[in-house]
Amino acid sequence: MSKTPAEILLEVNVVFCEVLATPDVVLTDSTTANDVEGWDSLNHVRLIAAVEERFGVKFMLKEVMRFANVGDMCRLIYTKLGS
Amino acid sequence: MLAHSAEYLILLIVSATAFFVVPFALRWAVLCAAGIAFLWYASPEAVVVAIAMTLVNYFAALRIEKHLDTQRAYGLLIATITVDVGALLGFKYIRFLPRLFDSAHLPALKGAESLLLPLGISYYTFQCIGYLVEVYWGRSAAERHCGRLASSILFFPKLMAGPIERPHRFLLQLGAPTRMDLGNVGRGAEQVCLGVFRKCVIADRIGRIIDPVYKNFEGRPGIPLLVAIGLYTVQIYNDFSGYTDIALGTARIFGFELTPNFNRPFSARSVSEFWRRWHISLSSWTTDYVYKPLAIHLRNWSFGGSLAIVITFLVL
Repeated sequence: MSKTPAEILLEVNVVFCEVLATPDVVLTDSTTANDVEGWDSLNHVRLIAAVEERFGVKFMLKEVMRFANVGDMCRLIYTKLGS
Repeated sequence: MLAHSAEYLILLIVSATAFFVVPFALRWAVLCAAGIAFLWYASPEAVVVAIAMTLVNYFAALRIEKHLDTQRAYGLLIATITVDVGALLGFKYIRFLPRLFDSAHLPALKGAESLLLPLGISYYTFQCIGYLVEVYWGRSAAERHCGRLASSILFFPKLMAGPIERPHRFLLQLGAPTRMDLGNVGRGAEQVCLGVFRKCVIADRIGRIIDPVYKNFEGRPGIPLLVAIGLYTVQIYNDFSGYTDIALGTARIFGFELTPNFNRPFSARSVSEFWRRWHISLSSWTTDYVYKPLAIHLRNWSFGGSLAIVITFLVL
């Protein structure tokens, strides 16, 4: 059974907490790197790799660069899982 | 034309007045004319190079957008970036070629040593590349109006020492029909004065003190050398951030907000924090257009992240 966008967001939240080693991350669709402490350019790459591994998907460079917020990432995961 | 000269002040007053007097739809023409005048004062060749680079990137961006998400767009992006970087490196290093090769055998190199680096080429090359990449990634639309794009690339306050502005950010502001705001003019003039003070009073005065030490450092005792090293840091910071203040203040008079370049860099608590506070427009440019794409592309390599950092610092 495929995951709903809300379930994907929750799982992405778990991945972020693991990678950034803090339980305090609370993501919404509109969250950006500026809203999360520790989400810098170095951790950005680690977060992308961890999310890919968690959901078993692969992002293209252009797809990653088009993410304006967490919601964009979750929607792409939803699309990739669905297809 | 130095940013703290009478000529600069005249250009600022004339162009800012014209900017608010002409119809809104023609503001781009005033900015282009001011940019061309600023470059022409340095050398007519600088105008030719800047306009050529603008045209190349204008047409390339339109073609990239037309073929978005195809191999053709990728090819166009790589080809245009190669032209941009080639022009920058060519103008930067061609003058050193006669020292490497005998110009008697290569007559084409004669005179290369005296070639001047076109004013502002580093800054507008970086801006053009950023603009192209944004269009290629589909994050921004290609500018249809060549004059508007030229006005964002040739905006004269940032041609001397930056900041490296993102053209889309500037174009967005150019599209807003603002009126002359006396508050902005006052704050801008204040920032220009602060910049001139930092450049002429602090940096140049320190330069007079430490230049003799640097020119003849052998045989000097350690304490004056240490003081000179410390003062050099203060000099270079005030020189660079002084120019930035002049650029930001000038832009503010026109009603534009440029990217700040410094945020109290010496209060940084780590090296990485220092680089986030020093020459911010360059470090954020390299992060967005060099480090991030490389690190994401190489994310599955064991040393991909480290390699991306090394390459980014080489670019810096």
